[in-house]
Amino acid sequence: MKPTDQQILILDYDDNSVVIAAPGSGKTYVLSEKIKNNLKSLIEHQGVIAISYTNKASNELKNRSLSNGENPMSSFFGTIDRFNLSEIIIPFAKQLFGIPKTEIKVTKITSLPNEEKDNFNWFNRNLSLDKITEEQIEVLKTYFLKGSIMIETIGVFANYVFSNSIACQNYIRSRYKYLYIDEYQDSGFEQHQIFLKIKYLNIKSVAVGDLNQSIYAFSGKDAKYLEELTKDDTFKYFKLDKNHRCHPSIINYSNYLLNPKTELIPTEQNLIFFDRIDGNEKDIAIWLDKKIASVQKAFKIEKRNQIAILTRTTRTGEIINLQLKEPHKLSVSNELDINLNVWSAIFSNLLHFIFDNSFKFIDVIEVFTTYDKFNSSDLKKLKNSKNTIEKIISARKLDFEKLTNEFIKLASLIAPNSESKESVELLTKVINNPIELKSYEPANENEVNILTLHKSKGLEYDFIFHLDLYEWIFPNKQPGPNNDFNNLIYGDWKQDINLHYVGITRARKGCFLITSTKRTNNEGTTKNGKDSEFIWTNKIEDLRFKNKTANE
Amino acid sequence: MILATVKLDGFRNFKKAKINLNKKSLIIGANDVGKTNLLWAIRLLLDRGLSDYELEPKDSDFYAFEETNEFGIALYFEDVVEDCVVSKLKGKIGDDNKLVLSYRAYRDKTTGSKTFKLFAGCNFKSLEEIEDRYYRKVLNVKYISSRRDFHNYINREKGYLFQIAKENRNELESKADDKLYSEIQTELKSVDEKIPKLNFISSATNTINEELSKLSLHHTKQKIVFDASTSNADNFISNVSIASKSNEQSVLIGGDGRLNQIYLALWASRNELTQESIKEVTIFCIEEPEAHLHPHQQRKLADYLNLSLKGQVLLTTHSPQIASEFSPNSIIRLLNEKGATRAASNGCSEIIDEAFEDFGYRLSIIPAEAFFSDVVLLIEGPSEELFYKTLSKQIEIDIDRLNISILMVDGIGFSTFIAILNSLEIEWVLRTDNDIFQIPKKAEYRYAGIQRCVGLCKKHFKSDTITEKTLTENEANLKGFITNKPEAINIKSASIVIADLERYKMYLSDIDLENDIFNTVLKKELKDYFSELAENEIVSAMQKRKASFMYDFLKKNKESLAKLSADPIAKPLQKCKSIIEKIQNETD
Repeated sequence: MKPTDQQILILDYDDNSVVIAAPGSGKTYVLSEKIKNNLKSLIEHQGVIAISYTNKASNELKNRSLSNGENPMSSFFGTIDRFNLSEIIIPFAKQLFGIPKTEIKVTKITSLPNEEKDNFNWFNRNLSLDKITEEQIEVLKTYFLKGSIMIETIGVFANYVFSNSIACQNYIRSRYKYLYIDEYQDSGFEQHQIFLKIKYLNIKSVAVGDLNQSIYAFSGKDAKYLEELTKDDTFKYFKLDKNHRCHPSIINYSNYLLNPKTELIPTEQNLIFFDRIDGNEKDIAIWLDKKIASVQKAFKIEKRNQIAILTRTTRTGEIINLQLKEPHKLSVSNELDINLNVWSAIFSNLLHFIFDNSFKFIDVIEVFTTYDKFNSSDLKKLKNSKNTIEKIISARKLDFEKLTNEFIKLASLIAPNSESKESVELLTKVINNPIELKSYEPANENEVNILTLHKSKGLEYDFIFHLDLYEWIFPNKQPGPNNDFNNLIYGDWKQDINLHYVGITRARKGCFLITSTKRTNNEGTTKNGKDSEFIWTNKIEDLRFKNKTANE
Repeated sequence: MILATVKLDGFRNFKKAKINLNKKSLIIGANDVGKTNLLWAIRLLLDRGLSDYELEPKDSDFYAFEETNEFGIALYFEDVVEDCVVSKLKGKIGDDNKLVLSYRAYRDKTTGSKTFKLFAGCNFKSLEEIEDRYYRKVLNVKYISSRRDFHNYINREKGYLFQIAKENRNELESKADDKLYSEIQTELKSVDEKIPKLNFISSATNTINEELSKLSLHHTKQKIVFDASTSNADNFISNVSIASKSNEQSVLIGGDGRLNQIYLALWASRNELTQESIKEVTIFCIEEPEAHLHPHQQRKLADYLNLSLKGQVLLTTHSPQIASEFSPNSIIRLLNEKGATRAASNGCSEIIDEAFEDFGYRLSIIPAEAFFSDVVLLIEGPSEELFYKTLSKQIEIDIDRLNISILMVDGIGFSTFIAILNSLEIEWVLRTDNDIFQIPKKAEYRYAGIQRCVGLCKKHFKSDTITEKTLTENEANLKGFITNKPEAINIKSASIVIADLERYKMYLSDIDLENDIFNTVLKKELKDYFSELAENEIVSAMQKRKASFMYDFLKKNKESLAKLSADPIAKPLQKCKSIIEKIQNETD
């Protein structure tokens, strides 16, 4: 694969930069190529920091960066939380606060017993380093010495340690020579601070993002940080604005959505479709059952798993999942996968191992330590555990309790000091939930994917069915005070349009926008469904497929 | 980065010891005092060549003279700023760039079973247990023992040397080599064919083959032959052995000294020790580098080790030549006191100030020899040296056996030597002349010798009530007399102070060496020697020719010195002997 001119500019530039990357512009390619190049000039004790939004994205970036067997040296691939914990907080808070009595466990403020929750009532997402008080640091210190870090505080905690520990700065500077943060449009304040502080250590820093794909404002993220960087002289500005993924009509549609003045690409066909189904979500499912086969044929899609059904809410996804008769797989949020405790990661990997043939047992263990760390009696126990697990899963009926116990035994062998009740609880939850359990099975080629718009970020499919385009829902809005329908209050119109933009740009070959005449709300009541304003804004329908059968 | 301090408690000879190190340090001490053990302690934590098995504590590692069931080794590093180390030891290096690595061993009192733990942290209070010595790739020690096997080493290293040299060839050289290589191959092949043709070679096998055919009909097609097997050119070439050429003639590689030099040079280049490495920080430990070397070569070697090796260097030695290349600030003397070994003054310390260094006087090996003694007799000049050395032999004080050195301070002065010896905790005795000098620009005289000793006393010893009283009462009378013949009051004060000074092991002559000798029972021998002179002329004649007189007189009259055993002139030597006896009694 040869880089485009825009990509070459970025690859050749070796200093602080900010890259605005449109969907399908080859962002991951550029990042992995840059990292490959960096690795050539680094020595064993040096590395790059590559921060991605999710563990999944991080693994993807790591695999691509090391695709030719490159030596990662001392590089870090992971999420910002993992980085903060392993490179800043855990090693250096020990120097500031003292050594904790037990191995560190990461928990949530919300999981604390009620009387303890009060200890953190001062905490909120907007608490920055300059506002935090001595007493509040003491609380963090007390819990740290007990072996607990609250996940919500990781950002400000990391900033505190970084700023107060010269040893930490010395360490980061000695080891890391390059910093890459992806999805910067969804950066939080704390991540932005860390980014700037690391750049200040003369580590070459690159932020990559797309202002139009900022969709996590609801969890405190903001695209303004990325925007700040584009205006900062010390960062060279690059853009990757060629969408190589989508059909031109999809590019046109998505750009027009955000900016009606956008220059349109000449194209023969418009492959964005719209249909209003008579009925509610169940009827949509029936309609989908018929449509999927014809779409597959018309667009020459080889594998069904290249088709995705995107929903705004998880509830819609669950309904479709239940009603759809064609083979499908619902992508579910999994708390076990994102939990930062060591045992959670071991359990998560074990579940992968059970269901996915390509996942090896050694991958479970080697995430934390190497095989040769174990003495021969431990190795024997590991082997026995593995055999027991294999026996349990090959039995006709899966004995969940036995499986859980064996998993716990195994985790005690691999990471004896990281015992976590929370991890065990999450594991039990997953095991007892067939839908969540199924998500560990590798994608079946035949199964259509069902997932939320948020989950679809970074992914791509041949064809997209975009659901939940209802007035009041998407974009989220409600009438003004006193039922004033002339002064509507939007939830976050920009976020919602970004989300819609994300959904459309997942599609390579075509996209079907769906709404229906009826819909069910949270309480299960049936309401009337009206078309979302996104469907008819600025005459965007002119960019859609025009057919005699299209409803108006 | 520097390994600044090593602390040992309960380990082998070391009950509780602190040893400060410099960038280049020299460890000296009697045989079996524990020099190798100190290096072993450092190696346990840092030597890549020591396997995990070596970490297992043995009973002999626990200090034997008391009930010791736990021992510890702690290494204190300072100025740890090298990227490779900071990167690898995440969280273990503090804001102040300090690092501590520690090893602790435990023995169960009842079962006798032994375990150990490794720790790392930014200071001793913040140590955390670590699983293994994972840092050794970037922070390590490279060690050469005193028992080096040259031949094995060269054979092992040959392959590596050749490989490096091959890689460093340019294109032209490579091509030329390839051409030559094929020529060699062809020639070897023909050699290969010729050797079996030698009659005695071919017939040697006939006997074997005949007997074989009697044993078994099956293998009659196979015949035993002697094969030259030189046909593998690679093997043949790499079997070259290192040789020495003198005027193009091959000679035996050389004596052990030469071998030692080659070994060290090879080792240094092999480990790329002479260039800064950004991939690792290494501390070099070499035991007895002087092995088999001529004295000048020893100094050259010490020079080489000090200047060319980039990185911290720790040497152990028994050689005054090597010691003379080191500033006294960098010498660590290990001594054993009441069964426990420790470092004098905790190792390296700032004994000598820059004034001494600026003096430009490089310690010659004679003073350096003193560092290896247990007692040093400090005297003024060559006449004293000749006299006391001969005297010691004659009154049967065997200074070599007793580890006593007689040291001339001529040109440097007592104070510097006393400072060094005190710091190395080497006992000393001093003998100086009871000079009477005129105070410049005044018509007054003073007891310069006594004042010299009083000055040394004040400078190098803690104050003592008896001495303070003595001085208060008498110090003023040590000067101010108008001729060089002191008054009665001066003489009285002088003798009181002189008597007190003996408590500090400082001895003064009555008048000076020549006069004192003249006033002993040797007067008769002296009168015989200077037969042509009148009695009152003898002393001036002695003083006139100083050392050459002493040499000649002693040559002819040494046996007569035996008579001086109980004479005050022999007191300094007797004192040395009694100090040695005291040390012996303490260690027994």
